[in-house]
Amino acid sequence: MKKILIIDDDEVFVKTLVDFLPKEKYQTFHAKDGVEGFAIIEKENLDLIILDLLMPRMGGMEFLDDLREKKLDKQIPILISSQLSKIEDISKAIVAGMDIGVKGYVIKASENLDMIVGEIEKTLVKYSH
Amino acid sequence: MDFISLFSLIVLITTLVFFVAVFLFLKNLKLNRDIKIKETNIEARSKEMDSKMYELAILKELGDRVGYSLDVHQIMDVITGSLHQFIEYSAVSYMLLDSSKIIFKIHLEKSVHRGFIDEVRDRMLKSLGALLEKEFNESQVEELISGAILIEEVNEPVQSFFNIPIVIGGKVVGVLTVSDTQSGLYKESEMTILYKITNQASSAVTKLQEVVTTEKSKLNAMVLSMADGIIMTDLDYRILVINPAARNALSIDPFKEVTIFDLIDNLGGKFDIRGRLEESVKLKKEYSSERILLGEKFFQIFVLPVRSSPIVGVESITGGVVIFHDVTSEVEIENLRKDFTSMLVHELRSPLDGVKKISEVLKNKDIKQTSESFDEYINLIYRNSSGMLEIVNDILDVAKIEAGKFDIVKKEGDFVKVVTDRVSFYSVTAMSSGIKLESSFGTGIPSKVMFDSEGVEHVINNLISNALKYTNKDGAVNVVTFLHENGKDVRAEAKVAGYQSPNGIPENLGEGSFLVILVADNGIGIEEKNTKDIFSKFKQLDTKDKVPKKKGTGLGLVIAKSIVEEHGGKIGVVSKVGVGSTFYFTIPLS
Repeated sequence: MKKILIIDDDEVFVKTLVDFLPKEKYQTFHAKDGVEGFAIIEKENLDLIILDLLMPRMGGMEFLDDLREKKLDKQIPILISSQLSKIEDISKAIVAGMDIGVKGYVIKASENLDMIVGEIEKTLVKYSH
Repeated sequence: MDFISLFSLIVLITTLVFFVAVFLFLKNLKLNRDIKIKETNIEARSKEMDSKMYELAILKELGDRVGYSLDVHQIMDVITGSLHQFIEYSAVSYMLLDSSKIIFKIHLEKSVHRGFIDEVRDRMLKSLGALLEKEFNESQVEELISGAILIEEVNEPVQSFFNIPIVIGGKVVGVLTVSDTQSGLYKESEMTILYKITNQASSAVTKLQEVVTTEKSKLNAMVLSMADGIIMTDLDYRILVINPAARNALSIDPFKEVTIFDLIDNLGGKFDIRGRLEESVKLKKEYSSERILLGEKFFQIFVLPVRSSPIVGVESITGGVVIFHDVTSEVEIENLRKDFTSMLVHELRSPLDGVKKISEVLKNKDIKQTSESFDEYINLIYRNSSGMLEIVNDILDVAKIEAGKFDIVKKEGDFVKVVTDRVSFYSVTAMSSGIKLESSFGTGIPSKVMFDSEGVEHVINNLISNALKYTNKDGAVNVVTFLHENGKDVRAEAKVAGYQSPNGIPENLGEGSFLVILVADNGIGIEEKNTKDIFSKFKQLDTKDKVPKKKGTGLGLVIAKSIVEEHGGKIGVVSKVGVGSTFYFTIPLS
């Protein structure tokens, strides 16, 4: 059972993604922003984080900076999710977060749920233990 | 009568006749003499007339020939060339100061010997020295002889000599001289024509110089104060003009002397100024650049040739002009427009994507839906679609406003009811956010008011929803409506109607009687510098870090402003960070 944390304030995205992820294989957690996210990270042994870049209170980039400072013993693989389709913004985030676990990205608006789920599974296979 | 008496009588008569004859003769003589004197007078006066007419003609001719020339040399040449028409001389000469040199031009009407010229030169130099209280050196003199040839044998000395100083702009710049081998030639009375001519020429040049100086300083003042940077160069790329705006654009010290190399350096390869100037001058072309970033500002750079005043079909290029036109604000607006558009796109794309994803889930037969889950999805579809529709409507309204086609329809209605309805509409939302939403009314509000109810609803909706958005839990939003009577203190009226916020509303909200609606919250407040921009399409509140960025297009206030102003009212906000905001608008009573 893989544990996935979705840090995103878009309730439709979260709900639909959770519904799409087979409950037998995945246990999903949801945080509205980075602050809530940290609370869950400390409690659970997560296998993947799906991080939205644009969030109120603490944006995705800030979360990555804070995560770096926390110096957790285990690095959790992270997928960036974004409504933005500007490659520069996404690649900026990936490059900035590579050292802290960012492994790839999904673009919400242009990808179907099953594509997103496919990306999630690929990442888990590659980087999770 | 006897013979003797007859004879005496004859003698008497003859003598009488004789005397009369003599008398008449003498009288005639005198008459003739008088006539002659008169005739001479007339002749003399006529001659004087002629000579005056002649003078005038000469002066006019000289005036025409001197024309608008500022070249004193040219003028002197014209004058000396015409003098022979009414003054006799062996030589006419002038001396003019030219920086450190003294130009000495002598024109010989008759042949003289070298010594004659030397004598004239010497006396002129002394004259000049005396006039200027300076001593001049022979070596400073540059001599030019023209006219008749020198003949050593014609060795008559200078016997007549007359000198006139040449004065331009109140300063002595030279002397004009006529000289002759004959003596006694230049009487003061005859020299008046010479005085007149030189005076005329001098004052003409002086006046012209003054005009040029005035025009130049006007032009200077204009160029100095221009907002665009101006640089003017001559054909050798020497900087003739550089105004403060140009120095600013290129970050050049205000007092430094500037060369083309300074310009090239400070442009740092972003613009080939020398190349463009060359092109402009040689090919008589005008050039305009794309936007170039210099320092913190954007400029559009123009290069043009400087054409000198055409001399009947002949145009010459005397240099080049480079203009630095600041387009930073245009760039900013363009960027804002781009940001605004992308923000709009984002605001629409999110809910649309949401609906699409919900469809994906509902389509998938493998995913089991509980009825609660299904209901939630339907609800989400409804909310997202409504949200998108609202955004689209807002965009359309703003487009209408910008096209000047935004209209309101005023109808008689119950204003109080409209306000009450809106407040109760938002009561559920307020309660779920833990915010107290209340309304209060002043006395004397007319039961029938002319207003566009849909428009006013839109405004109140917008103000209440904003207040709720930007107020934290346990906060309060108060909607106060009251009638302002002309001449009364609007602040006192507000207080009586229930307005409690520490934010003071403006004293003067307009003339006449009108309804005032206040939406006061004790939320996060707005920074002073942003209060102006929130009613404008492009500026959105820039809340960073501490405060969450609320969703929305920011167009609601833009539309609200338009609705209120179409009613003839005013809209505004008073706010303090950490204390809260009071949005206000007025609806005039017709």
